[in-house]
Amino acid sequence: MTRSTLKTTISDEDMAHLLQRAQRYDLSALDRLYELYADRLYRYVWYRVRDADLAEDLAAEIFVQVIQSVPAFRISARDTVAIFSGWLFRIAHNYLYHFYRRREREETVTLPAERPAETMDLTRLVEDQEREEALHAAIASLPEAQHEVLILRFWERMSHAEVGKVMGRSEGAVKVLQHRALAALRRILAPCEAEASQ
Amino acid sequence: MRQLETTLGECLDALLQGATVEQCLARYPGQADELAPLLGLAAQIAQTRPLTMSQAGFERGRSRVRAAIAQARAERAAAAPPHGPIRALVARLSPQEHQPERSPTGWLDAALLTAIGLAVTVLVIMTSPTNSPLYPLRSLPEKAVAWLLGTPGPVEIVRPIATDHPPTPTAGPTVTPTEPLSSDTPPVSITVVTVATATPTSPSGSTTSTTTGATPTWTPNSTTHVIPGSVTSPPTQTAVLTHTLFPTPTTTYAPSATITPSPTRTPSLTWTVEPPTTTPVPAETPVATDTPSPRPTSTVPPTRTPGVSPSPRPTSTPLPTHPPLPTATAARSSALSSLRLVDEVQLTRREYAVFRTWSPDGTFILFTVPRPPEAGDPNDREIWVMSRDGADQRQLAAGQSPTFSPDGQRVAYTAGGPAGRAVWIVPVVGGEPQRVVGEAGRQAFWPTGDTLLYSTVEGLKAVTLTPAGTLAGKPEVRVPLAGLVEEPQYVRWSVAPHGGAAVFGAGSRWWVARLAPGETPQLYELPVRLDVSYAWTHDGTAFAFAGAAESFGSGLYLMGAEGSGPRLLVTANWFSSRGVSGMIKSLTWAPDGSVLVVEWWSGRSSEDSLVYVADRAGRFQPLDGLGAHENLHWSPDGQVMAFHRNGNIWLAHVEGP
Repeated sequence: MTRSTLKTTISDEDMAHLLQRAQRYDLSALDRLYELYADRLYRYVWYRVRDADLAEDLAAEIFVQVIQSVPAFRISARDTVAIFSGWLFRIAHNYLYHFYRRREREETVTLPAERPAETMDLTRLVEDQEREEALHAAIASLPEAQHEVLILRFWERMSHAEVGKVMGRSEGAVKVLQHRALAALRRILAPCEAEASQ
Repeated sequence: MRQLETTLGECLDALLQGATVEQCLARYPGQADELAPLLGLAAQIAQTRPLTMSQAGFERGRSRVRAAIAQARAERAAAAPPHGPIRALVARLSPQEHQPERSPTGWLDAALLTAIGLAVTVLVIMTSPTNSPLYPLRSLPEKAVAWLLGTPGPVEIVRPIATDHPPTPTAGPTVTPTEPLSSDTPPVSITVVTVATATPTSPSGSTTSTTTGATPTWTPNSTTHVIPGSVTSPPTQTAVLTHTLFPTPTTTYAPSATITPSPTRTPSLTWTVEPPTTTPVPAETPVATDTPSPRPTSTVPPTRTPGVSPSPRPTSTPLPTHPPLPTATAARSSALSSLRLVDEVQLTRREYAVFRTWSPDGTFILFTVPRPPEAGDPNDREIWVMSRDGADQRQLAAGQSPTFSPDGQRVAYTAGGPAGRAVWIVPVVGGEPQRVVGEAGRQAFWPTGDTLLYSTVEGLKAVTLTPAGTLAGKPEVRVPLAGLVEEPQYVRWSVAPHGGAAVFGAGSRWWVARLAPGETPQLYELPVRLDVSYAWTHDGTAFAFAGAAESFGSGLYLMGAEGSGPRLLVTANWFSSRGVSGMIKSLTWAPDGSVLVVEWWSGRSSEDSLVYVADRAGRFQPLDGLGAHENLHWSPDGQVMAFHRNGNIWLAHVEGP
C-alpha cells in the first residue's frame, strides 16, 4: 500500500479497537498507528529542527517511545482519537525537550535551525507552492513555543486546553502564545503580503 | 475591553469550526482592526497543506518502528515468568545458559537453591486447596494430630479464610474452570461463586467440612466454609458475581418510576433452562491452544466499595444464583453450516458511510457520514436515514450515536454545542429536531418508548417523554455511578431489550445492573472486562461480548441477562491461528438468538476480516458467501444482513434456517 492511498483519519471506535491491539504489541495495529501519525510527528519535529532527514529520524524515534509507552495508555470511552493524539504529542514534546537538553550539554552539534529572522525576502514568491514554502519557513523561524502552538492549533486542530496539556501550560498561556505567534508571523510575512497585494 | 488574546482565541475556535473571518469580526467590532490581520493569517495557515515526510523517510521510519516492535515483543516474552516453579528452577540451573557465570562457590548457590526449593515445596503443599493433587500430603500432619488426639475417622479439612469479622457473605468471586479443558470442549466455563468468610473452627470446636452441593450456600450461624464448584464440576455451574450497590435514599429507584417495561415488551426475567446436552462433534471446533490449564481457585480481590453509603441492611441471605445458559442443540449445529450470504447489493455510494442501527421493524437504516471539520463539533457526524433497499436517503440531523425509539417513529442522538453535548430527538419522517436534555453522554430509549435514559456525571438518568418527544417530567437518577467510576458521563452502557438489566462500565471495570421495576437497582461487578463489541439477543436473555478476564485472556464471552455465568466461547488466539491477528469487531445475533455472527477484524481492511457463525455452545463455522464483510448487522426479521465494504453500506440476503 502506498502512502497516497493510506487513510489518515480514523473514527473513535476504530481507534479504540486499534489501541487495544496495539497494547498487545500487535504488529499490524502498531503499523497502522505509524501510518496515522508518521507525517504528523514529522511536521511537529520539522518546524523545530528544519532538517528533513533529522526530522524523519526523530519522528521515528519518538514513535518508538510511543510504542514502549502505549501499553500504559488508558483508552478512554470517548474522544479516543483526540485524547490519544494529545498523549502522543505530549511524548513528542517531552522527547524534543530532552533531546535539546542533551545536545546543549554535549555541545558538539550545531543546531540545524536558524533562529528567528526579522523578515524574509519573499518578493519573488508568487506561486502558491512557493508561498506555502515561505509560510512553513516563517513558522519554523518562530520561537519553538510559538510554532508549536500554531502546529497543534491549526493542523492538529486541538483546543486551547488540549494544547495546554501537551505543552504543560495553562489555557491562558496558550492563548497568549497563540497571539504572539500570529503577530510575529505577520511581521515576518509582511513584505510577502505587500508584494501580493500589488 | 476584553483582552485581545481572549477574543482572538474565541475567534480562532469559531474559524476552525467553519466560521468566516467576516463573521468573527462582526462579533467583535470594537477589536476588528487588530483582529483582522491575525485572523486572515490564521485562515491562511489552516488552509495550507501541511508538510509530509518523503516516501523514503516514511519507509525508513517504518522499518525502524517494526524493529522496535519486534524487540518489545521479545522483551515482553522474556519477561514473562516461566510456567511453573519447576521450570523456573530448571532454567536457573541450566548449565548451558549459566555456564559462563559459574563461580567456584557454585555449590553454595546450589545449596541455597535447594533450601529455597524445599521451602517453596512445603509452602505449596501447605497452601494447596482440596482439589489439588498435593492436598493429601498437606493433610497428613493434620490427620496425624487428629489420630493422636483420638478424633474418630478421617476428616477432610477445607482451608478456611481466617477473619475477625462476623461471617457475612462478602462476595469474592472465584474463577474456576468447571469443565475439562480439552480441544473437544473449547468453551471454558467461568464459575463465580460466593465465598462466605468463616472462622477456622466453630464455637463447638468441630472441624469444618466440605460439601458437594452445587449451589453456593451460606448459613449465618454456621462455620462451614463452602467453595462449591471447586469440589464438583457441574457442566455449567454459575453463581453470583460481586457486590451489591445500595444507593442513598435520595437516589433510590422509586416505585413510582416511570421506567415500567410494558408486559407486552418485557418478557419474564426467568430463564428457560435447557438441560445440558451432549455436545455433538462440531463442524469446526475451535482449538483452545491458549486455554489455560486448570488450576486451583483463585480469589479475585474484593471490589471497591462504591462511593455511596452502603445500606445497613443485613446481607445474610445468600445472593441469588443464576441458572446456566441454555446450551445449543444438535439441530442448531446444522444451522451453522447452512447459513450463507447471497445477492449482495450496495446501498450507499459515499466517501465513508457507517451503519448505525436498524429500525425496530427492519424497514429503515440509520447511518452516519463524516461532515466537514469546519461544520461544527468535530465529534458529530451527519445522521442519515434510508429505506432498507437504499432508497430515500435523507439527512435527519448532525450528531452522534443515533438510536430509534421502540416504535420506530423517532430518532434520539447527542450533539455538541456551546453548552456541551445534549440529547435531541427528531422524527424519522424529518422535521425540526427537539432538544430534550443537556449534559449527556450517551442516550437510549427505554423499551417502553416513553422514557429516555442517558448518562450524566451523576450516573444514568431517566426522563419521561410526551408522545411528541418533549419532556414530560423531571430527570431522575436511576443508576447512580458517581464514586463508582471516573467520569460517569462517558461510561459505555447497553440496556437489555426487555429493560430488566443493563451492562455498563469503562476501562477494566464493568457491571451488570438489575433494573427490576420499583426496586433499587442492584449492581454486580463482572469478573470480565469488556472490549468494544457486544450484543444482546433480541429477547434480552443473553449478552455476547468481546472481553478479557485475568485468568482466561481475550476472547468471545457469553453471559445471561443478569450477569450469570460469563463463559468463554472461544479465545482470541483461536482466530489468530487462522492467519489474521486482530480482534472481534462486530457481533450480531440471529433474531431467534440461536446463533450469532462474529467478525474478527485485522484493523487494515475488510478483506482481512474473518466472519464466523457461532452457536451458544461455542461451535464455529465460517460464514459462507462472498468475501470482504465488515461490521455485520442482522436485520430484525432475520432475512438480510447489512455490512460495510470499502467505506460503504451493503446488504446481503441470508440463506439458511
